[in-house]
Amino acid sequence: MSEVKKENKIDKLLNQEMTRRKFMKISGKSLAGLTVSASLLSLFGCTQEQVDSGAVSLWTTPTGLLVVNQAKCTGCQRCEINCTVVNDGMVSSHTSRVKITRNLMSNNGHGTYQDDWVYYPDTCRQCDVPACGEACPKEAIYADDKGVKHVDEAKCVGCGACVEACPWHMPTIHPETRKSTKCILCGACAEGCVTGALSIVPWDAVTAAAQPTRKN
Amino acid sequence: MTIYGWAGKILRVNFTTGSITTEDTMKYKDYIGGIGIGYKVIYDEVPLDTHPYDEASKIVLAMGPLTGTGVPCSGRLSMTFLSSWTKGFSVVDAHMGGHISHALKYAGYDGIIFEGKSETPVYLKIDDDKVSIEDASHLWGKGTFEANRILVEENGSDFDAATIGPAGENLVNMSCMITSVGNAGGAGVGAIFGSKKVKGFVVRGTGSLKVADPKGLKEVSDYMLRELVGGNNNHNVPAVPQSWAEYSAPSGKNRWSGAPGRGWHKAEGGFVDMGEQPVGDIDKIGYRAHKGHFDHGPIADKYMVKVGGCSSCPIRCYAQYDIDPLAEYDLPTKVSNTCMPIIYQSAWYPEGLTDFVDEGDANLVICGAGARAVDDYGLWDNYGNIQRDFNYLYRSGILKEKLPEEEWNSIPWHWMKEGDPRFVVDIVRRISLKEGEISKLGLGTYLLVEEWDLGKEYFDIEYLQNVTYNGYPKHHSSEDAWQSGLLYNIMYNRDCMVHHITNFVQSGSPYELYKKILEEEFGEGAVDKPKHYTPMNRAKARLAKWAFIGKQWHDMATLCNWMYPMTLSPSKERGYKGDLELDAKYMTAVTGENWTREDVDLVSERVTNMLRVITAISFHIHEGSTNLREDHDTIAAWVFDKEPDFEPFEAGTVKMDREDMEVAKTMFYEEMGWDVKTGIPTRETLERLGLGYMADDLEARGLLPA
Amino acid sequence: MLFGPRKKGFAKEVELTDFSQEVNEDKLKEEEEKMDLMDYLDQLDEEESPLTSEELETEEAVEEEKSETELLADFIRLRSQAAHLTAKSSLEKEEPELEQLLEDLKNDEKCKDITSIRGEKDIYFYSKDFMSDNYAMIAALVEDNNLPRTIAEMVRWNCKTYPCATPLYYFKNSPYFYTDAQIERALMRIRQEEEYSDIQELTTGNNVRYLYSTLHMTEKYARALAEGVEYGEYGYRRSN
Repeated sequence: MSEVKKENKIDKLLNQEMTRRKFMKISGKSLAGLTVSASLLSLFGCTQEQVDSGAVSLWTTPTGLLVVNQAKCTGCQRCEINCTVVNDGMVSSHTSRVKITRNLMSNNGHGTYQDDWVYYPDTCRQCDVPACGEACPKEAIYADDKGVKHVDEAKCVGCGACVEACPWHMPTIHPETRKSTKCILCGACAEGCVTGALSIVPWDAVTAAAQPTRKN
Repeated sequence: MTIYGWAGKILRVNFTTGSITTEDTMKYKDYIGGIGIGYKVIYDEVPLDTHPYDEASKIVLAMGPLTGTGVPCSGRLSMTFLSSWTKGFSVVDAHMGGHISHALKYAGYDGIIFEGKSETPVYLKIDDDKVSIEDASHLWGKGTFEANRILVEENGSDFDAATIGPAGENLVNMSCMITSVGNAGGAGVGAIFGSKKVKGFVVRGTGSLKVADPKGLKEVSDYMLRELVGGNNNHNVPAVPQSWAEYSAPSGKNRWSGAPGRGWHKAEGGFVDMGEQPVGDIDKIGYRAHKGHFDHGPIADKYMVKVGGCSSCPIRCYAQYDIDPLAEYDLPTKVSNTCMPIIYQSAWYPEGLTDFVDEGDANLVICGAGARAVDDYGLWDNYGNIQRDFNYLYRSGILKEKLPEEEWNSIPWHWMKEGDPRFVVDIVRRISLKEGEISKLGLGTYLLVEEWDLGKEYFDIEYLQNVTYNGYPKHHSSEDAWQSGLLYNIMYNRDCMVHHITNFVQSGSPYELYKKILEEEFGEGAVDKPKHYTPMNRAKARLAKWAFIGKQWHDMATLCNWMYPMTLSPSKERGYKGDLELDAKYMTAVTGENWTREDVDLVSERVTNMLRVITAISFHIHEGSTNLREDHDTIAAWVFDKEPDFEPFEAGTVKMDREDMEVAKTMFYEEMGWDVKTGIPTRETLERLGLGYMADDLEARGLLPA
Repeated sequence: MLFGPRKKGFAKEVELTDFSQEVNEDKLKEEEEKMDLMDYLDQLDEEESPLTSEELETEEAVEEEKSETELLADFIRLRSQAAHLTAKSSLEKEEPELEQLLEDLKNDEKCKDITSIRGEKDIYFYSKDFMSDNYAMIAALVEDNNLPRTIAEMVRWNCKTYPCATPLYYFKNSPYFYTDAQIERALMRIRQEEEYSDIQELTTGNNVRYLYSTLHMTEKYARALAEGVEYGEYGYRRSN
């Protein structure tokens, strides 16, 4: 490609990477007290009010910004279905690497049987310094070239240390293979969410939408 | 050997002996699952003169291979048992959604057979393969909301529960079981559990279901979600014009009510706008139904928090409200439901309603109080019959005659006249706790007519909507679906659950469009114009058969009767044509066996004929009948006599013609392979369907057609 | 604004119902303290991690530069996706070479989805990929702002197509959003004009007014259909 085009491409990627690293600073943190621009809100599929109320959480992942909007989760469980069909070739709730069912019925005073409808899917945060990886005695959890954390099944002995160590207990010891299984950011869950409560917004889109606010 | 789709085991729990065993589901493979297993077990094991509240009575709870395996709109289960409240006391099935069918299948079970009777209140605990009968004395007497909550709190937050309420405990015929928030299985099952002193069950499943072709399953699911599925009741055009859509409901009303400007005003973090939901956008399907708006209009939006429904379903047809005006009356404000409880409570107020906060909000507020009450007490309304019975008996003065003066005076009639929501709660309590003569309403229409000597003419009153003389109302009958709808409405022992025809008739699609698609399948003349019917013909008989056996398929597979089949599509590229091969595609992908539409039709016909044979035997035992055509398939007079300003087949009326319906029955029986004189299946049909043993049984009883 | 308002459902339309006009110490402080997200992120310490050239070698499609015609087409597509037509008159203001551009657009292979509909007062462009012809018809009628004509055309079309009579409240919904007063005025004019003499009114048992066209159905049939919608399965509803 021409020099100009190559420069533009590098510029673009640089911008995207910078955006990602910026968002890492607030990954999983409360956004209270921050205004989000209209174009970013539109991209995330949420409103400023939802952000203010704490209904929305943002998590940086290597491929995009994971947006979980609690106000929109309607408990259909299709995220779990997609996760296991795509990654395991079978269907299960317990083994799913995105977890909604455990929040659905009764969860810390919330949920269907607690007379409110506050639930949301728990997602793997692809932590930069993963508690699961740190705790693994066999060093079976590694990051690929994009930074996504995987379990090396050859090394895993199914001890469950990862499950305990993760602040959100996201890995699961598969009842049949007896190996740890965790989210590899395939995106099948978000793809199947019927209300957009779970979405993964690619970094180029975030970067583009973030631009106009700089001019204010 | 790996089993695909099915979990592999059926749990059998005997509450008399305490025995808990499992059986191989594959014993019932020919019957697929759900009501297929239900009818087989009831037929084999429960003598049809058993009273539902006897020890020998059983409840067969079951699901099919498509439930739990991620097929969209499959998150429900069937319960099969004998009816305590309809003529003939024959077999009926109830269906319950929510999230519990998934839990049961992941725990490893395709079904549970509840048999025997416990002496003390108990509940069934299923923790994967650890199954036990637990003491429920601390739950007995509690409403379903509290009972479900306690069961989950006590056993673990990843459990799910289903319980009966006081209505079931008190053996009220009109009772149900409740799971999640307002997901009910009705038809009287609550009282059967009650008679067994079983409060309910709680389940956790950490296992998985195997799928033969996971890639294929995902492809078919995505195909359905992108191209075939519409709004609620699979309405394939939106209620109001959307920019991507060619058509919209001309009245502005159908069950795809989500639209820009409409939404959930009480959502966490503020208003959530339903927006537009173009074909192909999976992440917006959940905004299409917006059922609250369809039921109540814009006032619903004011109180909606979000929507919910059953596992695996993208439609989310349950409206979940926070109805503040109820707080003033010390009533719970959180209400979730999708059907009669949240639609039809104003009938308890024959003298009208008064608005609460906004103009036109009375119905929603009253329904909010009523829904919460009936779900909590576990009372079932027989598709509105209980409300209509009350309303009519009040207005006609008969109720006042029947109730002792002291009881009459104890009822808070001033609350009724003021449109106070506490009235419906009070009456629901009385019926559920069997307090007083008014609680006879809980017997169900058929037995109430006997009990209060209301006479056969009672069934002929148009307002009451009884479609037959057997005790249940019409449910998308001739008012939507000409002769075809009426034919399958009279086939069951409860109100029918068939939505095949009403779904496309009410969809808002242009008539010429759906007529073409359906008549390609069933032949010219199958589909009449809205409110402009024509005399019976063979194509309509074929259409009726398709819809009739299709409902049995859904309750075997188990799939949602409101969404399937995907007859039409919202996609213009597809010419709005759906895919009637879809169910077979799912069966193939899930089970790994090669299923065609003909295979699906065959098993559907098999189970349909089981229903018919059991019905024939029950009617013989209880009514001394040898002729279902004359004794079961009766049609109430108002169906023919309504709308006196019209003649049958005139534009603008749905009234039917008596002679024409006799022709219709004959054509329908011929299509089904039943004897035209008695409406009972012939040996030839039964043998073709692998039910030769049932033919033998009929023969032994003198019921088999010559 | 070149890019029209986003489709409803995302960005929130603010409806101020609280005392926003009041000058209030707490309120002032709040608004001062609330910082824009991106500015906040910039403020935090930058992590030292320059990208290496290897990190930049990824497979990415090279974006080609777009022609004027393509840009116009994209603009029309974006607006169509947001449920808006693009009026020729609005383009004329910004584009001096419009006629030539439109000619090129018609001939461009990649812009086959762009089409137009002629209204009473203007020509409206839309993309068939994102907007249906029937919706464009409705939107054009709404743009033309001739309410009697819009109502009459839609009532006739609904009678013919579905078939169904049309309730007045249909015109209060999206994308019409007419008020009661607007509808009444339009009905007054419809009753006066000869060309709309086929448009008739009826009232259902629950006092809901419907319109139908005698070109396509009788009063008796229209009434039965309207009653069917209003009464439904469960009885008359009081809020529409």
